[in-house]
Amino acid sequence: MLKSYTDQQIIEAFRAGGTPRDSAWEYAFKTWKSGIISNIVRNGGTRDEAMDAIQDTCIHFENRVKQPGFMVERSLFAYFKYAVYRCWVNSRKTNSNVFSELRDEELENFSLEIDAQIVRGELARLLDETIGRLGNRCQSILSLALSGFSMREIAEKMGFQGGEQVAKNEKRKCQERYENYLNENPVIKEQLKNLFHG
Amino acid sequence: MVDDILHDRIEQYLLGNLPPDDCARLENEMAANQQLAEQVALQRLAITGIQRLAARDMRKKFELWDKETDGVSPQYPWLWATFILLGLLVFGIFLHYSKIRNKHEEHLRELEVIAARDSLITVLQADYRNLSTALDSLSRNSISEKDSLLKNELLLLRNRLKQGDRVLRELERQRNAGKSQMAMRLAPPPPRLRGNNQFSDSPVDRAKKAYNEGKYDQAVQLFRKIPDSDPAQAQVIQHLPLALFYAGDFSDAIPAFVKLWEDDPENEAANAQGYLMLCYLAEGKKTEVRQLRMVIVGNPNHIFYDKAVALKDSI
Repeated sequence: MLKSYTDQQIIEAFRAGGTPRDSAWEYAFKTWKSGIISNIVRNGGTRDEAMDAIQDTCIHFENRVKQPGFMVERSLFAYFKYAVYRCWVNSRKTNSNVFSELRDEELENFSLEIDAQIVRGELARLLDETIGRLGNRCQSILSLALSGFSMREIAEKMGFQGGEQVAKNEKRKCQERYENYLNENPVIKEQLKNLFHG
Repeated sequence: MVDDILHDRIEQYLLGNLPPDDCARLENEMAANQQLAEQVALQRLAITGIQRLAARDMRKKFELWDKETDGVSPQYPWLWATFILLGLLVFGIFLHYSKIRNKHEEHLRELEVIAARDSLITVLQADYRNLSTALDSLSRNSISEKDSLLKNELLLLRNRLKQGDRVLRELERQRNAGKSQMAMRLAPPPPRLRGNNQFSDSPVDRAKKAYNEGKYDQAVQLFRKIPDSDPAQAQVIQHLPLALFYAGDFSDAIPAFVKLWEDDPENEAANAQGYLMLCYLAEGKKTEVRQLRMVIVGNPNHIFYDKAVALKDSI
């Protein structure tokens, strides 16, 4: 049976990272998804569009709520739901005034903040392409590290014999590889920087 | 190549994990150092790309969890249990009030029927008296029985009288039957007569055995066969009224209960009062019922108190 979490417990789990963070996400997703998806579908979206918006929003949402200064004034579900909804609306590039009904300033500000961090379009495509050059091994290490898994856990998952230190070294190498690729391809680097800064 | 410490520091800054003072310090350094600013921008791109990577991994997990919950509602057993219990409670309340309402409506209908019957009885009784008077008058004034017109009139009147009489008796029987049913409904269950020696063939034991087996008519006959001189007569006085009551012979039960009351006022008064009230009810003697009821409701400890209270609406 799925363990249930309070909002504060979800935030604590996000901060802990790794397996607790995954468990919290499992609970949050299974509990919130129908409300989030139906909200989008009700407004003319599809389930796949809803899942895309959830994907684009989740990491930034997690990063925001686990910061020390974040105060939970509404439910986490409400924050996430509106952030996903705004992401979906903006990804459709419609001039929709669906947020005209949203009178909640707190949720409005939160969703704007999250949406500002979401990359779309050409920038997203180029980033995906450059990161794709790292290969599956580096992608796995970097993704696990960003998800809050400890070096020990990464070493176990990746099967590194040398333990934590090896995992740390491998992570550093993967980061360097990416940075070196960009430095060696200044055009792409400039393109990314220009796209990033709008 | 940037050293590991600076690299980590920049990474923590970009992930929002640096304390505010350290953030400010790094930003000042960036403002003063173009190379540092370039490194921060580079790592920012990298982190943004890795975040998209992490988001894709999350998507895979979301799809997996979505399949797990497909068609399965979240398990909130306590919520479901609460809803089910609430539903049962509401249904129970609805059923209960439904039954009360139905009983009340049934009771009102019964009262209507009784009232209609009583009115009809009154009318028929008056009609009977008028016809009887008319017949007597005709009989007295008839000159000759050979007067065929008069004879026919007399015959018609007699027939009408007989029919009216039959209808009247039937209605009275029905009225009393309704009251008898009410009396039996209110009566306590027949108390078991103790001291019955099943191996004894004495008349009183045979009578008590018949009573305990529910053969009240037989019990009445057996009790009545016991002579007054028999020492068991005390038991007859005690048990015969009950046998008469449960056999439905209320008119004979009345004097039997009165005799019991007089014979043993200390121990049998309450019982006799209660049963007498029910006997009078069955016989339609409202005045006597009211009198006994007043005595009983005046004593909340009376064994027939609840039944007397329940009787209020019926009389």
